[in-house]
Amino acid sequence: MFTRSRWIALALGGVLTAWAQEAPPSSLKVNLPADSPVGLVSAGWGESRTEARGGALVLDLHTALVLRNVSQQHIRGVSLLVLAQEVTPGGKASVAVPSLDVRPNETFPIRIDLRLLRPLLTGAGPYAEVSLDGVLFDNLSFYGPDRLSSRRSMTVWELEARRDRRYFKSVLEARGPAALQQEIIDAFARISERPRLDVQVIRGGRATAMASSQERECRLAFLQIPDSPLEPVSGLARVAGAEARAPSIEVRNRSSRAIRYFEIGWVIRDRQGHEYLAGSSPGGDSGLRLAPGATGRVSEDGAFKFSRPNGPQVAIEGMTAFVSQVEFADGAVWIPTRAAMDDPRLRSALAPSPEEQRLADVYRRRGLTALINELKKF
Amino acid sequence: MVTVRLAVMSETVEPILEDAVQWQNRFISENLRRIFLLIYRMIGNVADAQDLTQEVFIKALQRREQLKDQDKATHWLSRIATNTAIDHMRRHGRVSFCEIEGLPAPLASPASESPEQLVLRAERQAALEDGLQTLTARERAALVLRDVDGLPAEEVARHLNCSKATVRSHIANARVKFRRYLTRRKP
Amino acid sequence: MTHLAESTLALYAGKELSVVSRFRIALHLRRCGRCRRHAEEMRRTSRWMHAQRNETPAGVHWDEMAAEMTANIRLGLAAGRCVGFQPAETDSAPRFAWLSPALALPVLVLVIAGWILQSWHPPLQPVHSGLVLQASYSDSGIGVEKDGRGLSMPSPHTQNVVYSVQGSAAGVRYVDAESGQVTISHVYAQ
Repeated sequence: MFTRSRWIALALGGVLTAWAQEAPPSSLKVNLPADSPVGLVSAGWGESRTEARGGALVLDLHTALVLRNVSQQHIRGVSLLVLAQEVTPGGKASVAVPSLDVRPNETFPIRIDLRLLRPLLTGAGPYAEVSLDGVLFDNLSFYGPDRLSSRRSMTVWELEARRDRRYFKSVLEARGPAALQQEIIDAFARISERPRLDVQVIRGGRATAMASSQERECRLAFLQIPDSPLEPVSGLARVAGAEARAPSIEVRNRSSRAIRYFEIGWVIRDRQGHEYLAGSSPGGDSGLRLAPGATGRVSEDGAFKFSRPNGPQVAIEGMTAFVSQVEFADGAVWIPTRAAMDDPRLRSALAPSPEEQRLADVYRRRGLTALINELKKF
Repeated sequence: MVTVRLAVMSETVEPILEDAVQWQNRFISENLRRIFLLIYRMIGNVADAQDLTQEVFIKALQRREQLKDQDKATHWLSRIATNTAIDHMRRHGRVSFCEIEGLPAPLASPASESPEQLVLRAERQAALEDGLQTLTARERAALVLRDVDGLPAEEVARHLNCSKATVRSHIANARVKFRRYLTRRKP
Repeated sequence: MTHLAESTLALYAGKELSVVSRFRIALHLRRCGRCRRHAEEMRRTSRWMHAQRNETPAGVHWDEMAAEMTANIRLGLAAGRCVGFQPAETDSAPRFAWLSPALALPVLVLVIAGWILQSWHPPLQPVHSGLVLQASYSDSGIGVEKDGRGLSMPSPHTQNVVYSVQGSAAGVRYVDAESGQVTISHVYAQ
């Protein structure tokens, strides 16, 4: 028999659950500072919806902003912070658009397709606020509060874009359109050969149920990249079945500049010898300074768990690490060169850059001529 | 080794390629909707129909050189589509409808249709799709080819690689079942 | 009065019977209202079905779907040429190994943050407890959860998607169909 309070809760829940509706247009607020290099042309609620679930409001945002480049430079990337609330998980999100080519005074859209949570009763005001986290210009200068480390991310994406466009253009010039077409198809094939893995990262209070008897220490192997400023020296992880826990790695700065940030990429090998790109791990954040020649050890107390969408469970046999990205103390960034990606293991380990993904999509939708014309723009 | 510049290649190669490309593009654009709808009505699932449609065109266009009479390409394409759909139905049994709500693209309605027309159109589509799902694979194929696509019975028999008598039996059973379904569906 | 079998009326309605049979049935229908009604219903149903022949399923945006399919067909043909594809001789050849894995870019990029740099460097901010981040191709989405509270977010796209888990955020990357721009979205747990 339900208690009275339960009936009330049910009734309220029923009313609120039925309240899956569109919200008035003023429910999305866009904040741009007065000196912002982008101006707002239009914004709206679009096809967004809200739905009450228990004590929370779920915002399904599906809309597009139209911005104008009001600066005097070409814009290469924009990053937005979308905030419903900062109290509970899932209230904060970001949307970044790299590989842009927006001239002064041009307009461009940014789509927002996100789901956010906010407590049901937080008073008046918009459901979500959109603010600018950063704009990257053609000369790699940056504007914005950079709360989400957008400057580093967008710089990496822009460098990757330039690297990959240069490469495709060189293929076109040296070997013609058929070779370019082959490269793009290889890009698809390169990714398609890699099986998909679902992943969970579990950190802190919720320990995984890994039997200590099954757990073993796994010494990490490394893919060395010749011109990498950072060298992985040694590493360990504890592995059992499809879980890997507490990886740690020792790295050495072999460049002549201090390093303040880096990312290490991981490849997992299963018992059948198949290799999967498992991910990459950022080392260091605010305050890191790895001096030239210095070594240091980074470790993590979380666990990551892999599963296949279809097929047998993953059983981790070994792990390989490689340096995927380095940021120096002076703000310069290093990424692997295209030549380094001649190593077939590294090429299959590295994810395609956003620009490679975009160019492949240009080819897929509009054909080879359109791809060639796109490359000629830069 | 001779390096051929892109501009020179464009002048000599493009006219030859252009005819083949144009033919291919025209072939796809003229037949895509028909083939997709044929397959969709047979298997009842949008996502699978998309995949199979693509597969059918690739199969057909990869053998384009084997086609002596290009006018018969349309008919041949339909046969490949029918066989592909029937193979799919055999492998997967009855396929449930895809959840339209889950499609990534937002709904877009033609500007000329009123809300009432939209609702009616959706209802008619639902009636057709639900009715087809009451049929066996062969019955469904026969009815779609005969009554939806309007092919003569002899042609349907060729598509399904069976005798005229067999196809008539499929058509008859399908119409009877479909009529009974529509009768039940009426309020 | 005996009535005609429904299957006979079905074939009569579609004119699949011989001339002689149709003549005999027409004579019966003059006398039998019930059979006449059934035959007319079947005829109407057939006409109605034929009228739907060009209607796309409700909720399908045809122009976009057609463009997507055309692009995939083009890609499939090009890939077949590049690998020297030899088509099978018969129509009932085994299903072509469809390129949907190729067309989806299923790279999973996992990023673990909060590493604690030891020795000469002060430790980073300790991460909060009970944090779960998820990126799933099977569920086509990402999720964040902390101490049992959070949400999952389905991806607006299911093809050409790259998922990532980074620090306290889960992300998804895809090419927006309308603008052709790469869009990278993250949802944060804290």
